[in-house]
Parts: sequence; structure tokens; C-alpha cells
Amino acid sequence: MSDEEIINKLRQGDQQVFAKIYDHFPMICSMIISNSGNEDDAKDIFQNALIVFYKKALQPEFKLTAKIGTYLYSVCHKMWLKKLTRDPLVNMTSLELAQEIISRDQGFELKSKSQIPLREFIAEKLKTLGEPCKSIIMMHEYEKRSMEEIATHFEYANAKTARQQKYKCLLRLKKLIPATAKSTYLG
Amino acid sequence: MKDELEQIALIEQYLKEELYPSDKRAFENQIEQDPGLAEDVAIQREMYMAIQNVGDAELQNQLDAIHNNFEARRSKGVSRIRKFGYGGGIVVFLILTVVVMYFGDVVPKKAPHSNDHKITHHQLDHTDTIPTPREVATPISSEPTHLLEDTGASNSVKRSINTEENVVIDSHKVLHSFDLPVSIATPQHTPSYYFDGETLWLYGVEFDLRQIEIRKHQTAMYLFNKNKYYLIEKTDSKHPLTQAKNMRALETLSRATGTGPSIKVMKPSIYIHHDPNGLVFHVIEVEDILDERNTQYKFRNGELIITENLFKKLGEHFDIIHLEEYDRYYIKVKKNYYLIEEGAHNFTELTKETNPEIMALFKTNSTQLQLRYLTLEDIYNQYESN
Repeated sequence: MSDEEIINKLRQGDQQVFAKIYDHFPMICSMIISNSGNEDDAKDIFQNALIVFYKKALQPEFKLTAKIGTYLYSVCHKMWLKKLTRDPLVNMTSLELAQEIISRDQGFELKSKSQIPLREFIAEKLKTLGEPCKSIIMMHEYEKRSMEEIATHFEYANAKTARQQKYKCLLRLKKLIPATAKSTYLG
Repeated sequence: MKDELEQIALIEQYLKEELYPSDKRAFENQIEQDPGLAEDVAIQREMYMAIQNVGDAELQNQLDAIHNNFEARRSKGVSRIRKFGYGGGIVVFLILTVVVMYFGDVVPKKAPHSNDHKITHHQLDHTDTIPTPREVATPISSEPTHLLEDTGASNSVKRSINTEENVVIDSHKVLHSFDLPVSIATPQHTPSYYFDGETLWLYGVEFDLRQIEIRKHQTAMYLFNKNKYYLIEKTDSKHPLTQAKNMRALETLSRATGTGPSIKVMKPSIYIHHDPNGLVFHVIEVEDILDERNTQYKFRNGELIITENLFKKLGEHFDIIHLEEYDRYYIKVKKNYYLIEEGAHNFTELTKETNPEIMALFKTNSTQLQLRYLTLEDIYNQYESN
């Protein structure tokens, strides 16, 4: 399977194709192990690099300029070096590092740590949101599937209906957040 | 409700920077004046972050499953390699490719009654009267390049290499003749490989044949060639070689030379097949080729593979004769001709030719195949100059 095919699969929501990309793991593993890491570090870093890669690949303007393996290697290398040289007091997890990289790419600012509990609270609510709301939200916001695809998938009349449906779901999610949670964690 | 939905949509557009600059400025002014709206924006921003987190976590679970699967497959692969690595007793063998070096009107008319059965060889000079080698012996290549080679002290296993030029032989066929898994095999110049956990297949003309080694560093396996290390991973498709650059790994690898429980994972024989599109060669676990019992030779598709033992037994003074009329090949040892049959494995199974009619044909209608023994150096230089 070529790199292009892999990316197309990812864009179609096929996350199983990660099994193919996983063939690059030994390379990353040896890089991290020979830089005073262990296999668990390697797994952690590699998986987060995969997530970074995934999100990159979903961006419409994304163009693969290097082989996936090369890309992963450089992301892992950067992440690992950053982790090694980071002030141990800060001790960010590698997923947070990955998120930092992503949010920079996506133009979102990573907010200060005080907001993370609210985010976790929302995440918990999202998990209990029920279907099809959760899937609609995830497909559009995480998997970056188009509204047309979502309309087809859920048999909505058209993309516009699907979009309205998503806004309803977001609203429902928002309403699950009690004012106390907001005031505790925000501001 | 409708207002709320519109607000959700508007905030989304704002956060995703989808608003026109003028609308954006207006909205920002609104935010400044309305703390409630500011809070809604902040919350919705957190919602998108939370969505990403949930997505990440779900993807992570999936990756964990893939990881476990991968590790399970990998550990299996590694133990297989180890088995080969320390297995010992690998059959040493040589590949002879029977190559036509043929002799147009080879056979002297005076020869028939002579006791001397030696056939004189003429190097082919391409005159019009002489058919091209291809016409004479179809399954075999035209260029007289057959060779056996000793890699010398660095590797006790002999590598034999066969090169063929100008004739395209379907690589799949060649693989098949060894009963190896039929797969892959496109000639190419960029070094790449395929490794199924048992056999390492190398592709490309970039390799220095004098220096092919497998070295291990922790769980990773490297191909050492031309003073570079390439990571070898188990892969189910052909994969370009990735050069290892990490200093620490390289250091460990360089110290791993020849000692310790590391590395000589495979004692390969190298089979080289040359065609107009490039060069394919495979490093093959010898056991895969001369698998069973008492195998001394295999002959198929114009490839003759002979064990070193048989080679010695034959005294290195033997010829391979092609009998055009029957399209048969014979090993000529002293004055006897032995039919080389496909499917036979043992020298004792070779049938001595006794039919006088056929014996007569050897003098009139046969071609001696040239066996040329080259050193790896020779071969290497040949490829370098290509």
C-alpha cells in the first residue's frame, strides 16, 4: 500500500490502516532506545506521533512531502528530544506535547492548565452524549469527514441538514455543562 | 433554541476563523462587551478541545490494540531469526548457472572416433553464420557469466553468484525454481528489501557484495553494507532501506562486529540475476534452497545449483553440455555424460548416457556451456562499471 493510499484511507475514516503504518515502529523504537529511552517510551512517543500525523493528514491542505516513515521519524525525534531536554518540573506528557504541536498547527492556542479540568469534564459528557450525536461530532470534528459524507452516513437529506444536526448536538453537549463547572474552571 | 443554534454556529465560525474580517471584528467587539458571550466562546473552545481529547483517547485505544498485535507478530519473527542465526550446519552451496558459451560449429569432424572426447571451445565471435546464443539455448542466458565464488575468511559460507545479461528471465520463475515463496522481485536500482521474518530479500544494485552482513542492536536488525547500516524491519511489502544514523546505535553496531550473540543472523548465499532493467539479487537462507535430505543439486529453468560437496566430488573438472536436438543438459565427467534431469537431487540419481546414437550427437550437435568462476571482486567491479 502506498503512502498516498494510506492517507486516503485515513481520510475515509479507516483507522485500521494504522496497522500498516505500525511497520515503522521498530525504527522509532531503536532510535529512542539508543537515546536512553525504553520500549514504553518508544510506544508512547510513536503513538503520539501517529496521532500528530493523523491530524496533519486530515488537513485538506496537507501534502505528503516526505515518506510517512521519514515524517514519523522526525516527529518522534523532535518529541523525544524535547521530552529529554524539558524541565523535569514541567513534565508534560508526550500527548500534551503532541497536542501542543497540533494546536500550533491548527491555530488553536493551548490554554493554560487551569482549563484542562473543564475540558476533561466536557470529554466525559461527550462520551455519554449518545448516538448519533457523538458520532456526528466525532466524524466531523475529529475525523474531518465532510458534511456530505456525514449526511450520507446518517441518511440525512443533505449536508445542510447534517450541519444543523451537528450544531444541535454541540448545543446539547454545551447544556450538559452546569454553570458551576463553568465558574469553577473558567475565568 | 434557534438563537442558541445560531450562536453555536457563529462561535464555531469564529473559532475556526471562518468569518470575514469585518464580521470577525464585529464579533470580537461583541465579546468584549458581553462577558456572557465571552464565556460561551471560551466554553465552546474547550468543547472542541475536549472532542479532540476524546478522539485521541479512542484512537489511542485502537493504536494499543494494533501495537499488541504488532508486538505479537514481531516477537514471533525475532525468534525465528534467532533460530536461523544459531542454527549452524547450514549447507554450503554453489549456484552454477549454466551459461551458454557456445561453439558454433563446435565439433571437429575428426573427433567422432577419437578417444579424446574433449570438446574444443571457441569463444563466440558474432559472425552471421552463427546463431545467437539465445536461439541456441532458450532457457539460458547469452552472456557467459557463470561463477562460483568464495567470500574468503570473513565469511565461511560460500556465496555464489550468477549473472545473466541480455536475457530477461522472469524473476518469479527463478524464485519459483527454488521453491521459495513467490513474491516480489522487480529489478531496481534503489536498495530496498523485503523481510518476512525468515528470509531477507535484498534488491538493488547498490550493494557491495563483498560486505553484506546482518547485525543486531537490541531488538533491531541492521543490514551492514558499504559501511552503512540500514534498518531491517519485518515488512510484507518491499520497503526502501532506511539508513540508521543514530550515533549511539551505530557505535554499538560497530562494536558488534563478529562477536557476541549478535548478528550473523543469516549466512547468505547471494543469487544475482542480471537483466536489462537492472539487477535483482536475493539473500537467501541456504536451508530454504537445498532443503531436504541428500540434495546435491537442483536443476530447473536453466539454473543448476550444486552443493559444494558435489562440486568437489566432480573434481572441478567437469563440463556442462547442452544437447540441442533433445534440449537436454549433461554433466560430462571424464568421458562420461550424465543426464541432468529436473526433479532429481542426488548425483547418484544421475543417469549415465549409454545410448550410442546420443553419444554420437555429443560430437556433432552439442554445446558446451561455459562455467566461469569469478571472485566477488570481479563481479563487483563488473557492476560498478555498469
